[in-house]
Amino acid sequence: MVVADYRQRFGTDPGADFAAELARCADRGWLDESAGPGVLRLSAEGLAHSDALGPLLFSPAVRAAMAAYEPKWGRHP
Amino acid sequence: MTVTIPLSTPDTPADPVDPTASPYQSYVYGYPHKTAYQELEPRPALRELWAGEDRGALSLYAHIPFCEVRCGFCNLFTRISAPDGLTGAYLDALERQARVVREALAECGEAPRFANAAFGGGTPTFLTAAELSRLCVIAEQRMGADLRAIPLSVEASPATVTTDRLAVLAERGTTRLSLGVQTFVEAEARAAVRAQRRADVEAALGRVRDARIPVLNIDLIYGITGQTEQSWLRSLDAALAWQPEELYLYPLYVRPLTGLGRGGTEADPAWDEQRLRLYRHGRDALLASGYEQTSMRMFRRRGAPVIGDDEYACQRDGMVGLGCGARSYTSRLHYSFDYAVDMREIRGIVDDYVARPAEAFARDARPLDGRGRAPAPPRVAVGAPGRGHGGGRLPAAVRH
Repeated sequence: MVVADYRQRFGTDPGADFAAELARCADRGWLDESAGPGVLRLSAEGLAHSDALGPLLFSPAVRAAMAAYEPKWGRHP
Repeated sequence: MTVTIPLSTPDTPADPVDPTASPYQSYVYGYPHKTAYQELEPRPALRELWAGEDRGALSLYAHIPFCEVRCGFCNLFTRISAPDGLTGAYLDALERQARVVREALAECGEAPRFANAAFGGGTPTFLTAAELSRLCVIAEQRMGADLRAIPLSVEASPATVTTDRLAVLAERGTTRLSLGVQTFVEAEARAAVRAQRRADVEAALGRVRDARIPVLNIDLIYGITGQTEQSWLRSLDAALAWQPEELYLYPLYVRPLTGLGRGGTEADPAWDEQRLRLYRHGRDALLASGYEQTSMRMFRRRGAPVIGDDEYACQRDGMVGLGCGARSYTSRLHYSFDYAVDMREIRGIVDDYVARPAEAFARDARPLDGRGRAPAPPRVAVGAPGRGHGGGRLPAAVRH
């Protein structure tokens, strides 16, 4: 992801919005450190763990709404 | 487009970065997830939702919620088979909806322009050739999408890609056909997908290639019980023999309410290890065969034609969804009809959609169902995009 595109869309910096999450991804080796400061890119290991990394970025509000879905609508046995 | 059911334990989310947590938490192909959508009261009219939106490069998506069989892994919004006349009635409803949505969009200013289109499901090729032709006419004449001038992607299954259907799709301007093969190994197909003969799959691929649709995508699944590196490689080799322009490698998920889900959906570290191992194996095989990796799942043959924008453009530029399982995206609000995985609920939602009069598509009119009572709970919901932490506003929802 081009950092400038994010900034243009949301008016903020992804490094500030997701500082803790990105730091932890970096610790796990999921970020491509050769991408340079203007680009956020997954490493090969990051790609392999996309399905764990994605949910990490959900907002608390979205997380709560998803959690409320099943109890509210009783769709599941 | 696909729809997944919530994370396996959404109210006690595992820390996804915890090294001991499963790498397979959730396939995030759109944000927010449909289960985060809320009802919005009062429900605004469609034209209010689209007022002020940039409508210069919209995506059009039509959802066809019918399949011949329910695959073991599948949690998509789709029903199995259709009683006589239901597909025709469904297209009638889709046409009513298209007319109303187009009018609502046109009231917002200049006519909307569609930059790409997709038919998904379900299995769009469950429809007959004549019905597919009608679907294209609805997209063109009712919605104003110039299908021959823009990328058009269609999902299909091996058993339904008959020569007559492919001829219609090719002639109407289909640029990408995605075939849900899942595995070329018959025992694996029986275990996790559906009974399918290798010879029939090969014949289907031959018919698709004969139709000369520019991009062929083959979907494959790894993580099936009994699948080994060797058997996975057999599927990959069989797919590569067709030199598909795209290959999607999907980790198997076992979700609640699916055929496989009846066996339980608990965490299974050994299965995680199998999936991760097969993933690396598949990735390496494709990279060595002249493919480049675009995402965890997507691989594109080097030098293959790139038609249209990337797959995420719909969330940026707006998407108009038609059909009862389709989502629509504006820059401020995502909305959709309700959906379900349970078969009985799905049939009810499809029947409700088919019975909707035109006015119910412009603003929710809470129509009564055929038995004269109000239909089951929230049939439509809406969520909002917004960025993740902090700014993740959760605007409301809307019925439409």
